[in-house]
Amino acid sequence: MLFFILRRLVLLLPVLFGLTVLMFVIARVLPGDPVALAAGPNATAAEIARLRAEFGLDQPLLMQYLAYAWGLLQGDFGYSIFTRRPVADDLIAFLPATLELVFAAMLLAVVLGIPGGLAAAVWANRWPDYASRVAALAAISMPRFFLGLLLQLLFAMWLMWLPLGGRFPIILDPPAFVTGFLTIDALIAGDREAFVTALRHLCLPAIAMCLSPLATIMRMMRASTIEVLQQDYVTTARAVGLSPRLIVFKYVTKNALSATLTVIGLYFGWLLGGTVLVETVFDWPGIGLYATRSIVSQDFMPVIGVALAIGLLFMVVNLIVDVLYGVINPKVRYT
Amino acid sequence: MSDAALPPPPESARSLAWRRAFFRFRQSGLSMLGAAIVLLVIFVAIFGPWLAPFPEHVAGGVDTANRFRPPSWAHPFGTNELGQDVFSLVLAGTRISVLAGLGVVVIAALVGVVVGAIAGFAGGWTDEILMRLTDLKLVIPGLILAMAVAAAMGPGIVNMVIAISLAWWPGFARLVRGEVLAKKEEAFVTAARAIGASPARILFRHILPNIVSPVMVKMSLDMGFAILTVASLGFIGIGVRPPTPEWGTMLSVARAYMPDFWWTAVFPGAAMFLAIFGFNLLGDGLRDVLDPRARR
Amino acid sequence: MALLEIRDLHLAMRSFDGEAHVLNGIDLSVERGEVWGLVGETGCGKSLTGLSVSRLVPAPPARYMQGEIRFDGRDLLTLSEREMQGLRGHRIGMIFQDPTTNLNPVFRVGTQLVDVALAAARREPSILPAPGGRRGARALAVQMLDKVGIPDAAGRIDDYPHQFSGGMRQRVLIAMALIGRPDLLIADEPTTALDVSVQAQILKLLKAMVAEFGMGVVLITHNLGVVAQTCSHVAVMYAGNIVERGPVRTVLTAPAHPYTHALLRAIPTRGVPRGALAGLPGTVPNLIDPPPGCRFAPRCARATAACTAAVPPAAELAPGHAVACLHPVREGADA
Repeated sequence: MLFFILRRLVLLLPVLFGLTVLMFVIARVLPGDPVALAAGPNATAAEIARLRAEFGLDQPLLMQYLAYAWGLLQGDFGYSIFTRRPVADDLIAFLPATLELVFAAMLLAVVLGIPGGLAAAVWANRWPDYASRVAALAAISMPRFFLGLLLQLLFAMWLMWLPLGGRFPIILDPPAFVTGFLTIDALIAGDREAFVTALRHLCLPAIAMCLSPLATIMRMMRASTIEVLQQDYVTTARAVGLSPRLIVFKYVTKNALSATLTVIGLYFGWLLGGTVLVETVFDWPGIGLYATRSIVSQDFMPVIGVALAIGLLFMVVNLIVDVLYGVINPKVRYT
Repeated sequence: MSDAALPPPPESARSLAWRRAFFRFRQSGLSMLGAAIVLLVIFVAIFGPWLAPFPEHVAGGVDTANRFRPPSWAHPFGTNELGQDVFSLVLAGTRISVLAGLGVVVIAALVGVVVGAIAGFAGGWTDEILMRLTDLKLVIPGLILAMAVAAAMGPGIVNMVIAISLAWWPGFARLVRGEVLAKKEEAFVTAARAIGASPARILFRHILPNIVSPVMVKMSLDMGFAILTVASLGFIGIGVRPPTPEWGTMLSVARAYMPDFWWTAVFPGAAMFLAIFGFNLLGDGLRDVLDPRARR
Repeated sequence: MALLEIRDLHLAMRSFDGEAHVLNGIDLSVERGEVWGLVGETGCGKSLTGLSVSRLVPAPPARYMQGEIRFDGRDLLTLSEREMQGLRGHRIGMIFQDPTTNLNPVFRVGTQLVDVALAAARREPSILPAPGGRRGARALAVQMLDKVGIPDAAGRIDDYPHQFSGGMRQRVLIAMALIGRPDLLIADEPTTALDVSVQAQILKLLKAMVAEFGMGVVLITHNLGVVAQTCSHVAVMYAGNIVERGPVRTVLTAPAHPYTHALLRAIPTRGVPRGALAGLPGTVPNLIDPPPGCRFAPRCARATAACTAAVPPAAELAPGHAVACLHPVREGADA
């Protein structure tokens, strides 16, 4: 089992390397000139040249990459020209917010999607299944940012049940930093008011984000459950007298889960990318918002840093999914 | 012995398959709905500029006296912060979105088919290298990649389309490679080689026609998401420049005027949803009908 | 009262091209201790007959037009699904053909056996040894594995199905079918997917189990050799009808029905010269539009007009030996 994990870990390295090269190439091949922008319209050529040298942007490309890669290994993700901070610091500051959002969305998607898919399969081809198919298609067709906007309109502006945006009101004191997740940290600190506030702020963005994976997970679960139900071993299970409830909830679920698990892992990665839109709508201070603002200012190191961070997270999630798959499906462990 | 006495030649297997597929397609209400929506969208995309009641607004003209008028007979979708008719803008935006989406899907398909076909057919090192390349693209969320490239290349629809296509082609490449690999092993290819057909001929005449169907299915399935991505980039502020009307950009601007002037956001957003939904329904229906492996 | 009594069972199956009349008046009677071989070629309806006893034929495409299946006096066709489920495993056991696909791959063998034992124990708690409950069920499972000939049963009970060979897996399936101590066992081609050498072992095992538990067995197969080896009685099926039934020696040494006769003649023996295989002209009839009267008539050299008028009733030639034919083959008469 340990070898299995180690092997998967080793496979990550070349991909990571390729990722850094790719992002670096994109950043440097691009026409924009971030230094000139940063220096402002009144800067002289000398000042721009000095800034450029300061950021190491006057070296040949290969040297720049090597310096960058070396820095990466030491945890140096470059420097953001606009926040005037190391990108690594920015990432650490903003990543927890994004993670909290993504986790919340995935939690909703999984908790609702898996039983939903199971139910759709058990009642397959009757009208609830048909309706759920249309609903799923509608869910993935709905642009996340539009949905966010509509949720804001309805719940924050008209009904005024939930806050408009942001993660935590400035006037309150956030709970002590433990995990970076405000909801969990508030629970740990026993601060009920902070917990409720954080949760209320998390609500709408999480819902806006979860719809798409929810629909896909449900369809995936439904499809694999239907396939499992047609397997010989299910007929055998019935023939030896096991109750339908036992068959579905214990056996079929586990069989169907393995296929769905890969989808969950994949979606986690896509959500990490998709937080950009939702964070913008709700002013959620995560790396998505950070990336957007950096891009618009043509500040590249942060964008590379964000892409790297997301890529890395994605790989880690896939590794976890792979391992879980190995736990569920014993045959895989020995490959 | 006149020719009229002869029975009509039997229908070729392929055209029979197409007819059957079309018949099955017609059976599904949802697919027909999708087809109807798509036709509507395409119609508006083509004839939009002539249908818009206020073309001068589309071109950039403003009418500040009429700012923020709620929906009425004169302005079915109301007016925005510049007094422009939202209905006209939405109609014009259809053209942008559809064209951009189409551009993305077509470019991605072309690049993907070429890469995938070469990788699948050549095998060996070529295959390995090309596949690592596509794998890499799947590690970065497409939106972020498209964002980075689009932002770097500067504003404009063309750049945006290229940027998104760059993130999109790996999907096609994988699909085509898989299909080519599968077809390569089939008997008719061995037969063709046995009679001395050149690799190029085998590729073009025998293998490629068989991958048209899955590629087309993927293209139609992807169309909806391509439009979504275009709108997403517009929302972030990358892509088209004003005064070109684009649904995502309209939404981004309209955010500031919520909730009082809700129509400036709701209508473009609804149009966005409708177009994407229609394409997805159509694509889903096509897939059910053309790709027997993906049966519900 | 017979353990199992099928009377005039008619079954129709809806398919794309129409409704196929797959069972055309099945009459079969099985007592405890009897091993009935149900023989016939592919498509004759023998599997469907077996599945019908357990009521595992999916009801919408299938329709029981008339007839009864009496088990211990009760007509199984009238029972509710719940009642049926109570009988399965506990009183009626089933073994299927392919050992690879009939065991759930992601669960340990022990888990599956224990669940079956517990399900049966709910009806008959006495089958579990001493501590009862889960531990008793586990002990019973080990016992059963040992009984079916799995070496080191206690060690292997926690293995996964893919860790067993084909023959072993079939033994596990036999254990699973018998762990609930059923009175009737339906074995649907249990050895067809196995090597010849393993086949012999499995058949021996089945005979031993039957003797030990005093069960009635319906052994479905297309292999006359298996029937000769293992069965006490045999019923020959053709196109949805049982054309001949009786004690195995009688039927196999003096077949009365022309079909049985042809089947036995077709088996190559040592003295037959090359190229002289005696086949049977024609093919099985289309069950959607079956021939009138005796379904074998189109291929039968002895058929007369009377044969196509109505399905021949089963006539007793000798005690226990019945033939559904108007012109049965007399012993020593024409070939």
